Amino acid sequence: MHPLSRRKAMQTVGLAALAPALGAVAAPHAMAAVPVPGALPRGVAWHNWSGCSGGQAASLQTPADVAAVQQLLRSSSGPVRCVGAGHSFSALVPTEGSIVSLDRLAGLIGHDKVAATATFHAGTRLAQLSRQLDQVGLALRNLPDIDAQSFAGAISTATHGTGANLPALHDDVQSLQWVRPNGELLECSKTRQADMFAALKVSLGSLGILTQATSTVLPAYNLKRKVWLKPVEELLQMTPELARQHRHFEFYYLPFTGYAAAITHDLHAGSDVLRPDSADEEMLRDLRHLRDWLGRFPDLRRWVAQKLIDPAQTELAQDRSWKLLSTQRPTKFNESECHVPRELGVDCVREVIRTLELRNDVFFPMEFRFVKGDDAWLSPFYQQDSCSIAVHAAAGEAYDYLVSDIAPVFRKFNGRPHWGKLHGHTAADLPALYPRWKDFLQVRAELDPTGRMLNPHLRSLFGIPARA
Amino acid sequence: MRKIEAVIWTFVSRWVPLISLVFGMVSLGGCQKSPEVPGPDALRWAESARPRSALLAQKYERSCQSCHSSRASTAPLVAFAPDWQARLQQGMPALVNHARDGFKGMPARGYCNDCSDQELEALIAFMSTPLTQE
Repeated sequence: MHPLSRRKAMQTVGLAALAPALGAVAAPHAMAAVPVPGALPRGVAWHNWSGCSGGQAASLQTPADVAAVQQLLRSSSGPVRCVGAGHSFSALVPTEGSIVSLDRLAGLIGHDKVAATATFHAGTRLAQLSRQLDQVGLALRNLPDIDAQSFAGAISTATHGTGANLPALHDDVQSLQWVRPNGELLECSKTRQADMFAALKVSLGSLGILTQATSTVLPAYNLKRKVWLKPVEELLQMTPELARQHRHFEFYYLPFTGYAAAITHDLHAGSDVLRPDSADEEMLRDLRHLRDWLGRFPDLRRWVAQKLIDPAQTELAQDRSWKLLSTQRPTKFNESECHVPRELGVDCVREVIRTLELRNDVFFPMEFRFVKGDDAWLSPFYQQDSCSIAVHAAAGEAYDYLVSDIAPVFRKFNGRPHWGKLHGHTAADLPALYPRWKDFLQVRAELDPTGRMLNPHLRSLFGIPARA
Repeated sequence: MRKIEAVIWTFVSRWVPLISLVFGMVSLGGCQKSPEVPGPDALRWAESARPRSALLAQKYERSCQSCHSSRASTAPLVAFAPDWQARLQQGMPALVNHARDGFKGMPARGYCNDCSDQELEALIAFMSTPLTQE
């Protein structure tokens, strides 16, 4: 979720005024890893960022360079799964074999300002990449709202930001270097093995291990941000126009308040920095307190929230693009997200809100974003401009309803799931949603006939039986 | 309606803190967020500071810097003593355990999958050393 949106909402809403009366900060829950049935009795314990996915792996490998990645794959035949920052909520990582981290394959390798490209190690986290690009006067075109992810992990799951005319990160990739499951080092690009490239860009770590990427970049740029609150129905009426008018537009609906926090980012020619203090965490706490104290009385909860909200306030910020678009997330959560055809986005989000508010325990803001279509075979945005709708639940609280209750709504609106987030889609659903699904499975089978890059979650998604 | 509103405000302003206290919702020393706010100099230092060891600096830049140089992350700020005092009182072994196993907002292994316990300790020592002692 966007940090500033929550923060903005908080400050703008004026809910902060309630905070002192409602008690002090509650510490985020630290969740234990979920054991994997049949996991090895010994090995390395691993769990994802939120704690909803995890298990025991035989080992955690951190190869130092490309040769070490090749050696790792050549010298063994067991299952291998890569991990980035562990920010995926779906069970993409857990394996009884080796987990491979590309932490040591990190950093900018080079850049070409004339060609507007930069080449970097695939394990580079987005935060470090943004800093290093900035130091040479460059920037990524767009960013997701969390920047802890490794670049390889981000593109492999089709991680995205917001912007009606801005595609997900993987669409800016010009070429990739990767090690296929047998240890062979390969490269492909938009012009060299184009089909392989279209399959590889979003491949959930199932085709091998990405080691290097070259991406389109822009000259470093500044953004100005505006955040304001609107009754959600009024904002929904304005949403298509706001998405057209602004480089980035998104909103967060604040459950059981009737209000949404709208956020725009646009290019800013000046270099003056304006950074109000973040109040995201305070806003979340206040929404949680409203839920805790008035959750049984949704009408009263909504009425109190509306009395506390001051829609006249707005918040402005100006800074480097990467400092405004992304941040860290102190409060952990679980999340489900789906991408629906753009023309269905507003209708879908109305139904998501209605469904969410059937549960009085919901308090986490719901996020609505825009993403431009692309050509990666497993991209949820494949040949489809989309609206992304994300629902969240605080870590440590029930989250199964994010799928059981909301997935039917996403399904009704032809939504394609975010691969890294919780979803209810199965192997039976996916071929109809992804026109190149079978082509991808064929490439996967050719590159990895034994399925060593798969784990139970991927086998289930791809409809491939478990190893004997 | 005004009567109802008045009743609610009375409830919120007068009773909620008391009830919160009774039910343990008020954090009694459990919250480690420093009441002191770092100024522009402290923030600039947090952004520019690096461990002296090149290897450690490399690990710091790719794993620690993003959160520990940012106020928004709520992680203790590099070299900002008020953020570290209560934490250091727990002892270095406890802090290393938190970094290795994950604790509250701190992800397990601190986004540094190749860091040894000794390196985690050195990184914590670097980050918790006040500016005046650098």
